[in-house]
Amino acid sequence: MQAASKAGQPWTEDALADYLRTGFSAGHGAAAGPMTAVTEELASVPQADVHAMAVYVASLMPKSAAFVASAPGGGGLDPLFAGACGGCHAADAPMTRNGAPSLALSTAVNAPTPQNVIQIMLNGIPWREGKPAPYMPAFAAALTDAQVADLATYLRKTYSDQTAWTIAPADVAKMREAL
Amino acid sequence: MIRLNINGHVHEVDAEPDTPLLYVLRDDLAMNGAKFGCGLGQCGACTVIVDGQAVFSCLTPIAALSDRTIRTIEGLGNSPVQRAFIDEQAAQCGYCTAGMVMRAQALLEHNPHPSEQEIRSTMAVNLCRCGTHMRILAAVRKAATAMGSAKVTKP
Ligand code: FES
Ligand code: FES
Repeated sequence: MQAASKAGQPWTEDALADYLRTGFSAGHGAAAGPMTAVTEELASVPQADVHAMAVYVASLMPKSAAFVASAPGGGGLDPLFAGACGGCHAADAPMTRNGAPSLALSTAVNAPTPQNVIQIMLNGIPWREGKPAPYMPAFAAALTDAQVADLATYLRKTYSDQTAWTIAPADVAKMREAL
Repeated sequence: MIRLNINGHVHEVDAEPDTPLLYVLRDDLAMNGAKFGCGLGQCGACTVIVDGQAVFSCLTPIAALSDRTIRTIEGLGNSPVQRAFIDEQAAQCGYCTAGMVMRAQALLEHNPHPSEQEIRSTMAVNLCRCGTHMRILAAVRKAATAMGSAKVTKP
């Protein structure tokens, strides 16, 4: 688990407990996919039990701070990013002022493979009826395979200092088929 | 200049590439059917059809749209979906209606016989602040019956 954590900010017990109970961590991002069901259930488990889980998981993680990725430097924003993502994810967008993490801290953007970033761009995070939960619109219809590939490459280059991704439109097409 | 194919006509648009399609439609091309609700992909008032699928035009920059086919409510003609919305009186203030019609149109072109669950999950991302969702769902069901029995014609 130590080696597997690519978080831009190290996980603490409190951050983990928050994430497990609410499905959201201000320093790391939102729980989605199969993790949704887990955090939904844990929301109704006694706080002390969730905290105990967090203490255990945190004990397996590195204590030293990981790198902190820098925010995007000079130069204009990519027009696809500015038009499709910027309303929520650009520096100082309203959502980031409400506690959503910068993409530089996103676990998906710092992960070894672009799978999760592509997946979330295509599918978004659906509304959960009647529950306060993170939401993101799906872009599968709005963006072509090549555009999704370019955008994911741009995110990696701009928000992470990990090795660049090489993504072919065909890689996106493959994930789209699985939708 | 970006060339946009909208409702079968090519428009040369002089706007920044990151400009959302919604702004170009409303501010440059005087197509005011699609509405601005949130600008964040959270309400669907701005829904149009790109390459046969419903998209939020507020989150679709024109840089993403050269060589693609855009359809708006202005180009729909007289779709059974519009007829069904009228028959079921599925509009109150009407602000959400163009987006609702376009999302339903895209659904029924791909799937003329959607299940109730498919209708609900598809329409769930479009909100009606007047709360006419039950009538909207009735209109989509009615349009599905009409389009499912006739041959669907795509422009
Ligand atoms: S204005 Fe586009 S989704 Fe609300
Ligand atoms: S009819 Fe008013 S928002 Fe839907």
